[in-house]
Amino acid sequence: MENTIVMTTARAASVQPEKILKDLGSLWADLGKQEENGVLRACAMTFIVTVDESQDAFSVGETIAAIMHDHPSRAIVVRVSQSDEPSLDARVLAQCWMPFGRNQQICCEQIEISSSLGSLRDVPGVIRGLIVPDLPVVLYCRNFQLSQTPQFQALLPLAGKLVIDSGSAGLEALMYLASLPQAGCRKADLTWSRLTRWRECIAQIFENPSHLQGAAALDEIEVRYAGETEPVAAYYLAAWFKHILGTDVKLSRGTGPSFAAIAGVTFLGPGFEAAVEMMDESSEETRVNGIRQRVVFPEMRECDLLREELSIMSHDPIFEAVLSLANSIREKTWREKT
Amino acid sequence: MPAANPFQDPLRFERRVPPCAIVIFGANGDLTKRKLIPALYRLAYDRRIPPGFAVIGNSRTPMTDEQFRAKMREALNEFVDNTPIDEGLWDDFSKSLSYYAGDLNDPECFNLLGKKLEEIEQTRKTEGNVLFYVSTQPSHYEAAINGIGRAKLAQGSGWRRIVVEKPFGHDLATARSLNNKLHEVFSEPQIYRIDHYLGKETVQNVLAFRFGNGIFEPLWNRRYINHIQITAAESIGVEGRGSYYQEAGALRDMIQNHLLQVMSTIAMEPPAVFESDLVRDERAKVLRSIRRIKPEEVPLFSVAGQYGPASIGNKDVPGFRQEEGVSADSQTDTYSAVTVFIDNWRWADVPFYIRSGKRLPKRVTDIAIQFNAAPHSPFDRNGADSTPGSRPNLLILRIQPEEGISLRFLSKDPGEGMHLRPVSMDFNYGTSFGSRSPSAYETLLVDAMVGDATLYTRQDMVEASWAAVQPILDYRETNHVDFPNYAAGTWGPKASEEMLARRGHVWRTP
Repeated sequence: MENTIVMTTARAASVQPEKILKDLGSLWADLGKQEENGVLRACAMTFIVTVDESQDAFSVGETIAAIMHDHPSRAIVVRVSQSDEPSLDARVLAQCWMPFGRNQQICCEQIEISSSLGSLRDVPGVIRGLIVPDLPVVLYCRNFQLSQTPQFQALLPLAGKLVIDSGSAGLEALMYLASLPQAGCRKADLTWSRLTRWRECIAQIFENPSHLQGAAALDEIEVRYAGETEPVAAYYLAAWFKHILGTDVKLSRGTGPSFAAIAGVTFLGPGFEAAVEMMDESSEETRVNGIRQRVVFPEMRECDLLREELSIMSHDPIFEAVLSLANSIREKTWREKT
Repeated sequence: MPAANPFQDPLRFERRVPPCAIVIFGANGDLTKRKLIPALYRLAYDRRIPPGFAVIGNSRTPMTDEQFRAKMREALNEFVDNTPIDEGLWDDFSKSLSYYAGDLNDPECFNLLGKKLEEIEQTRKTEGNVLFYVSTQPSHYEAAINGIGRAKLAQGSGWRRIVVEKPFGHDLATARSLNNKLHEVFSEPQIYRIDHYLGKETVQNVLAFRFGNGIFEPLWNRRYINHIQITAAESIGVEGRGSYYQEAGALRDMIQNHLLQVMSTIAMEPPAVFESDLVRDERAKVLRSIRRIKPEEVPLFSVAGQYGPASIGNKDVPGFRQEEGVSADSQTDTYSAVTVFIDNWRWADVPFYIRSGKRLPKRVTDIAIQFNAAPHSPFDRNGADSTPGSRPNLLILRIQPEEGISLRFLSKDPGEGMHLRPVSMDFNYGTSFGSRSPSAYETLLVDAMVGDATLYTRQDMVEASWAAVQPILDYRETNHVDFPNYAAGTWGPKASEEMLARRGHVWRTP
């Protein structure tokens, strides 16, 4: 796979969908003329990203460039500045890469809309005209606070799937996601995607039929988390165990290295003892009844998490069940504390 | 059947592998170094290997466990692709590797193996599950099977399975004999006959393309398809494997197994459910429906070729007979092309042209489906070039090196008049979607460990594919060809073009 990313011609565009689409057409024509072998235009979805302008502008572009290899899309990036003055602007560009051993660039188009908070109410109308027909629409809200604005709420009906990241926003994001109606767009949280590696290792332990039999009689499951208070990740894991085994889980503060805010998980039962524990920043150790195994946990970047979420366009029944249970466990924990 | 693991999440991560031990016979060989250990390490890197896991290597060469591990570590440096070598992970993984020397003809070799398996079951908690992997020279297959049988290692407290590498027999008689030998020790569901082509992502994608979409299958029959061409071309020669290849040849090495399996994937009926036996039933039906060639028809339905010396890009390339280990009058086919007919309702009279060769102009494997021309063209007056009949629709399923799908159709040339020209609509798996695909051996090893035989061949499939090529093998045994008959770097002998020309077809240039 070739990773070279080439940013190509950017053109100013008036903030009218027809004008933007016309500019995109011209951009593709220009690209075709520039390249001797033409370019391959790839698109499998509309991917809308809302981002606070104060966030690192380059990293959004880099993330989109990284995921377009797996999930080519028409990316619509909405950059929002914290100003009430009306301000709306747009530009179009293409991100291209030349796969190793080929002589034709593969390109995805990107539309960048810069809007002040004061003009955000005009944005859904623009985006509505820019959605690629007949393909899925995913809305990724990179800044949780932005998702709480009424202007953002107007974007929700456009999306088939909403992705947020409770990693930075915390419990408020969990509560918000759980409060959204079941019947609306599909919901995703990158905190849950970060837990996939933990869940893989735990599932591996119970692939052994004798361990699986023991799972029904476990005396204790303990999830140890990093930080002062229970993170969303801990509630998700506890909810996952409750969903599968019907048992409550002990949440406690852990020490040492962590991954996705989790330091380790232990299982204790009659004649059965297992633990999954971080050893350093990038590796974990699984111990099952005296057998040890080291497992690599490579860093998970934003693009890795999004790749996983963009691969799931159908219902995700496990996450849907876990989300609801996690919020209940959070409420119960809060009540017990207060 | 154990209960399904409720911790699985198929939307998010791959099937988990149960605890097991893998016994590799021929562990000092090339396949172990190049494919098996790199594939197992990659699986460990991807968190697919269970905590209860062990590999026991066997061959005749005396070696300690440490020497075996060091050798496999070197192999990893050389042959693992797209995977960082994590020293901590390797240290842990290497502890699961052990080795013992033993002659497969010596019963003591298997008594010792039995003891090692018992010990490993306790120390590595492999739950009595054992996968035997036979990757020795084919002449040692029977010894390995006999030894396992005599030592009663084919049954145990957990599951026992055996993977047999290709070639599976040298002809129909030896394939049947090997099957009989296997069945003396193992039942058919325990036997996994490997055909690594079936493990290739893009061959599996053929099934997704055909049965996951509604628009292609209605066209997938004799009414709309004119003929099908399957090409597996290699630009390299025998690369030091002359003595092995001399005994095999292109028909045995590629067409009898890989390409007939690919053809069965193209031609099979949709299974009701994507389950091992149902998919293999459909493949087997196709292979059993291949029309038997009569001895006198062999020259009309097949072509053998052997490359001669040539100069390619200012470099002199030796002919096959000049390769090391090859006899000067070798009758081995380094190129084979066959015409296959499948006698069933869907495919009656549709020719499947299959070719494979070494030292061809480039490395490419693809399947070209040529559709019938439009029944009537209203554009005929504009000259022959623009008639749809002269440029039929083509659907190309590319297996390697650029995996993907192309559809060729006609479009109006811009400008005045109604001039048509062919254009291509391309879809590329690997380049459009850049994620790493598992190697065929990763896929097949996991499948064998989890007990999914969908991508492995079954006794009836192997025997049917040998039966299909046996008349050609018999004919070639007694009718020698004036080799060499194609120059290295060309697309094969002229007779191959003539085989298609008899039905008004031409080989496309991949």
